[in-house]
Amino acid sequence: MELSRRRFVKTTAVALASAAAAGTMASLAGCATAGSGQSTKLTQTGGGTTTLGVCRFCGCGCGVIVESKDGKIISVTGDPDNGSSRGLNCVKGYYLANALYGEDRLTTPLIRDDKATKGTPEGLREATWDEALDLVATHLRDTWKADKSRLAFWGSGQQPICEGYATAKFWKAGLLSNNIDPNARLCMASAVVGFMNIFQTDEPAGCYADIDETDVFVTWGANMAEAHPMLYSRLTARKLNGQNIKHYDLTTLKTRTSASADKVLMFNPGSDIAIANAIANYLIVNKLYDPHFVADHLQFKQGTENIGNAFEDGYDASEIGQAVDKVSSITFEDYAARLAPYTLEYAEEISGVPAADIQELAEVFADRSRKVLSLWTMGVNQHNRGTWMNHCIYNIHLLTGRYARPGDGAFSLTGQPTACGTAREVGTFSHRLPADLLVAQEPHRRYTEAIWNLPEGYLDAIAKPGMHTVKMFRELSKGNIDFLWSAHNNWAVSMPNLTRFLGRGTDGNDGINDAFICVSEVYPTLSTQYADVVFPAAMWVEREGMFGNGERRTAVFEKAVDPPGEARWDLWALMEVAKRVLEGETIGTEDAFDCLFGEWYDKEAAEFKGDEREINRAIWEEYRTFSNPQLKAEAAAINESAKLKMEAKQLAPYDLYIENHGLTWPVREVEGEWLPTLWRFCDGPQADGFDEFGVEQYGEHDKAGGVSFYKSADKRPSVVFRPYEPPAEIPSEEYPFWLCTGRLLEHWHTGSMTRRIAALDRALPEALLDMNPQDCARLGVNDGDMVRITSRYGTCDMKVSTAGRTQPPEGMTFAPFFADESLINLVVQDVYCPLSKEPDFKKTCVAITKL
Amino acid sequence: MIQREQEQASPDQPVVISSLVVETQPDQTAVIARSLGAITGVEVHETQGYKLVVTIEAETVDDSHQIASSFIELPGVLGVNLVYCNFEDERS
Repeated sequence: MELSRRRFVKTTAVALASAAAAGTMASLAGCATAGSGQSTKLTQTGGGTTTLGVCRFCGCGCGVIVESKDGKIISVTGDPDNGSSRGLNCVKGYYLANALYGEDRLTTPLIRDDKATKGTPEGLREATWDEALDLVATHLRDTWKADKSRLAFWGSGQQPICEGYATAKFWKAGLLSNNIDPNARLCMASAVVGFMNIFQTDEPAGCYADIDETDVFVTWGANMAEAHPMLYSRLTARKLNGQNIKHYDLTTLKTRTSASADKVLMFNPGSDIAIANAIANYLIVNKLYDPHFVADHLQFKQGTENIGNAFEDGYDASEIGQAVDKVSSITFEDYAARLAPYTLEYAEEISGVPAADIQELAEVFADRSRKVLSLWTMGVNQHNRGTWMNHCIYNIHLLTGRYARPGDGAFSLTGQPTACGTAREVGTFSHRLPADLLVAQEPHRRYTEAIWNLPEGYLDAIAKPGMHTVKMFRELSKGNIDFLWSAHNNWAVSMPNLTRFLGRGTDGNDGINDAFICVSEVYPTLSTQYADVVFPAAMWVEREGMFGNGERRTAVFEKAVDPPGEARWDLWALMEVAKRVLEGETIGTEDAFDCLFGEWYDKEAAEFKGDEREINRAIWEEYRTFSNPQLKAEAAAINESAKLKMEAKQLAPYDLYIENHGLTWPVREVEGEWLPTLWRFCDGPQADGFDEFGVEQYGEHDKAGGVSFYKSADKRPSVVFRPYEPPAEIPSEEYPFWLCTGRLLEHWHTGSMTRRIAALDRALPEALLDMNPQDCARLGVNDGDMVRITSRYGTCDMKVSTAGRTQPPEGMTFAPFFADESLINLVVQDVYCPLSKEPDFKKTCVAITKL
Repeated sequence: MIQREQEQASPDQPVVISSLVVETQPDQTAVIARSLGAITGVEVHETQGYKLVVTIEAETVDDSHQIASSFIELPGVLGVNLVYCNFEDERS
């Protein structure tokens, strides 16, 4: 770089960072608001073109401005106009562009001719798109015609919104199959079921701006410092700039998040429910709850208990498996009585946390002069009682009136860039339709038919939910799935119990080798080693797309550069497969493909009916009709008669998301302007981010706390008593250690993008098993020694560290899951929460032996 | 503020320039600024309260990432935020 240019670039770099630092400070006085509607020009340092982007990696949803020149990305800048991140990115931002340019990028379709090569890096040959598409479509169509219970699609919280929507539409309306589920099942299903059980709507009421307004942070099973760096930085800023801001960390092992907390409550695995119940009990016994909030807003329930664990494939169909969702109404007094056994002392006995510390935390919730924000991630969700634990956190917040109010909230953080926007919102779960609708509900099917122009009753064929993720892979392993298509995920690394699912066990469950598997990918992964066909996909800003982040913020990333070689937009591959599979099929009297996709795609020409902007806009406008029923008379009529309240989640026209650098839904049209909502169900001016129009339309003013839960049954969220029940397995003589798995800062999404780069292997050369020094001494193991980790599921070898990023107590171990050379998921149990079907990745019992 | 002269680099040598906001424990901001400034390719340009405005100049994105990631190992560093990264040399 020329010296003069170098000086210029550097001056720009300093100015941008200086502004970002100051901007974050200034933001502490207010809350995030939508951008000015003007694209930033700050980053045009080299005559390149700038485009709008959203980070590809985690669920924070940080905005980035992408600068490209001569077909290559030359710089990225944190987007100051993105209300979620306000100009900051974490160090993963370095790889946003590099992730596109790995040397082994897939640029041509691949076909495996010999199934005997599955599970090896060999055996895939280059093919034309036509050959690959024909092969996939033939296998899908044959399976579909023969027995459609034997096909499946596994999607992702990384699949952009419009593709997710189109995939769900193809699967549910085109194939009339519910065998579609996303990898979000592995990370947030427990949060989802919690939301639906408690509020009858799947969404957080709060937003990231709560972090700037609260007085006390409570992190439950969350290592935000590693997994949500931008939000953790916001937490840090609040702590350092506010008055007497406190942070309590509840965890089973010390992390970088614990290191900066004011108090760490280290509990025995699975005992968090006992702690939460003890807090609720303390609040009630000492009359420290909010009686007005209770009287105005809450109803009380209890549910099925002693629900056992989903060890066996037949669990869901068993008597208890069928009963897990049942609840019955109880009184507040009944609820108090159920909680009564959960004294501080009893909670101490189960959890190992001193009663005084639990009392201190209970007093934090009792103190009306201070706001409290709970934040949680996988420790709560990946839990054999994950749904119950979600309930227990909301129970505390609801009892004390600390929900849906600025700074007072309970927030389940998400781990993928569009786990909310796609997996949850457009209906890629096996039991869902778009916009929170459920296949099992007749009015929901009628409403969907109206928007999709399907004959009335057409979707009755999918009234029964399909296979959830673990079920899908269990059936695959048993040879009961003939066709699997996966996209935007890496199941061969991220699924638990890989010993079984990769056919490496001794139980004969090797169906993976017989099934026909199509993998859409950008790089070779362990999953492509099991693929019969690989579709090379355009990645991130090689196409236009949309993500929806953890705070209900939908954002567009514009196309900046072309994909390499023959890599194509996933949506194109989906259309081409759908076209082939649906050839000759009709819906009513219309050609099936044209009925579903004819608006966007010309099947004769094999191309879209417009550019990527136009196609995304067209799909978005169709999807948006679900939350804007007035756009279609038939839908509006059903919305009215079935009281669906679909406009409660209103979305704005496509281009508004570009102009505003993202908007948080519901977005309300007010005199020609579209205004986002930050605090859902909280009464107040829409222009300040409150839910003015929602409360006005469906809710009530002047209720306790200034909130109105108008989407909940009787406008009353449910406080459900959930008892402590132990982990699925507890350490024994044979398997004496707990194994917890999780993420570390530098790696993301099983490393399929972030591990392309040599430097990362220097920063984190290989996955390490973090252990307690006392345990190491007992086993005669030193730092750097290889050990064998064995559970009743499988085994793997890993190097031990006592100076790693986590510091487990005695009896606990931690391993990250990014590394396919050690593949810790060979060892991890596939037992799941019976309600959410989300696996418990945090509590496998293992033996450790020195090699 | 710590100034380090980087201009000795030859124009032919590729460079990746990135800027960051490093957050610190307030009582350790000055110490951390000195530690960061001592790392090759790293300059601390401003102190805004507990935040440091930092640039990294390194040959590659990988090197830049490695340097930035190493900051978190320094006692008292609370967060490392990337704001801008220019890699036009690497992509040209």
